[in-house]
Amino acid sequence: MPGWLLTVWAAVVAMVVVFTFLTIMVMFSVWMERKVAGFIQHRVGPMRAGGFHGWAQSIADSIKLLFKEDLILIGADRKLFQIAPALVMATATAMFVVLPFAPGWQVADADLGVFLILALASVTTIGVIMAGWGSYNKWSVYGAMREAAQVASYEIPLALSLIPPILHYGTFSLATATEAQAGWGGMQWYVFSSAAPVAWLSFPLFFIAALAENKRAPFDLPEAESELVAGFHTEYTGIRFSFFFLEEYAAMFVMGAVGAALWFGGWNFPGIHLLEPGSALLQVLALFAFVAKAMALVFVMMWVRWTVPRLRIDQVMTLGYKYLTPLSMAVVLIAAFWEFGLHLIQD
Amino acid sequence: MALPTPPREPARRHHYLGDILSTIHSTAKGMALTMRYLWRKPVTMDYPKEKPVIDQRYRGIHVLDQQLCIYCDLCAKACPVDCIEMDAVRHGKEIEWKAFTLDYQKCMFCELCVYPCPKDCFIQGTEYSMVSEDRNDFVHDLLTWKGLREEEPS
Ligand code: SF4
Ligand code: SF4
Repeated sequence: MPGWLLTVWAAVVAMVVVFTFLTIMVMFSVWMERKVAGFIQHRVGPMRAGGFHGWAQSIADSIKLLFKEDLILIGADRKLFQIAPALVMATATAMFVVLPFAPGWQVADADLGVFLILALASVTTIGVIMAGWGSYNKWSVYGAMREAAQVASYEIPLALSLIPPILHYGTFSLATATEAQAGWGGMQWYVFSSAAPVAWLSFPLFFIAALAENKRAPFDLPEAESELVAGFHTEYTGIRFSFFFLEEYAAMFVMGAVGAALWFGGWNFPGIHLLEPGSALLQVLALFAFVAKAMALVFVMMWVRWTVPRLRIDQVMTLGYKYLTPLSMAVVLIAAFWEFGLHLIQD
Repeated sequence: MALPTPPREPARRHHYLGDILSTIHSTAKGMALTMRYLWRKPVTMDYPKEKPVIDQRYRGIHVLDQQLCIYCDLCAKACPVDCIEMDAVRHGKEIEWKAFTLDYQKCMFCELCVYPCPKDCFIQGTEYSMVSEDRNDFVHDLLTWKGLREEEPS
């Protein structure tokens, strides 16, 4: 087999694996979101489809979405309108490429993994703005403009709050950072390590900025269904709409996974040193630990959504520019001095 | 007369760190509340599987005791929307029933037809569910039997 064919073959396999995982994970998250929302409001959420607690609800919903009519308004900017969901979907899938699911189970161990995720997450924002602008609908334009206004206020704190773990482990690669947290029997996570205070300072900043990045409540202003119908995706139907939907939950998982990999030890779990490296059991348990940690953070995102009311745009800007940005800068400074101090002690 | 103006609240002073702390405090309080609610028993009912308990006073679908009814038409006259139709032939004291229908497309469940009945044979029951894909099914036949008298069940 020639070399380039091998590359293509590997890419196809990786795409299929990533896409399958992403779809299943998104379906599960949607079901979980509805259940969490239900129970928080003393309801039960979906109960019919599939029998046990409506587990098949998401499958039914996605089949329904696929059969919906695909509408494009006459006045819409067809190119933008059609490219936007594809762009959003492509970037969401691409972010999965650098996630370290288990030792060695990573599609590409990019040296700049964290950086790549940040860059792709910003491209998603452009997709959202394109969608809103191309829709020929004033609500969509409002949604897009809000997203555009919001973006700078949280991108900076998001990037800055990722610097402390990067400083501590000296790497942008998620897999290398995870391997560095394997000590103490798999419990030397960044939040328990010698830089624990910095970790606990930076994690909330990262989490809030990640919520804003994913357009999750209380920062879901671009969608704001009570004010803007459905915001930037008001005019989308069928499979194009499902792409936006998929992207939201995929991005939540990615942010949860980045948080898990950098702060909560990634695939490491207590007792990992007892298992033989590379054994099937270790791989499966590691995969389970990683997905469980990421899903736990996704759960917290849902919990926040059903607790905190949506902010006004000026409040989002105030929070981003006046609080998160200076605080994350301060945390970066503290982290730098902390690492310097650690080096002094070790030498 | 001018309304008294409410006393103006003193302008809140903003303290940078104080605001952060109060935000954290209130968010944590809210999150703790929703977390407690998450574990509470749901108040909803799994409807078609689990039926609600209906009070006896409920104004549901009408029930007619045909043996007592004297075909006086008072209920039909009382109805503001004229949804009761009845037809019968008197044979002395006996009544030969032909029809007694109630159109639930019009009925607003006001119970005005129940009060004038001299025999108290026309009441609103506790049944509430009436589902059909055909409008004509909502013209409900209240008669349990037709003709001169009830056939003895053989
Ligand atoms: S409940 Fe009211 S509307 Fe219905 S049949 Fe009786 S009087 Fe008419
Ligand atoms: S008012 Fe009573 S007795 Fe008279 S027709 Fe109606 S149901 Fe029969």
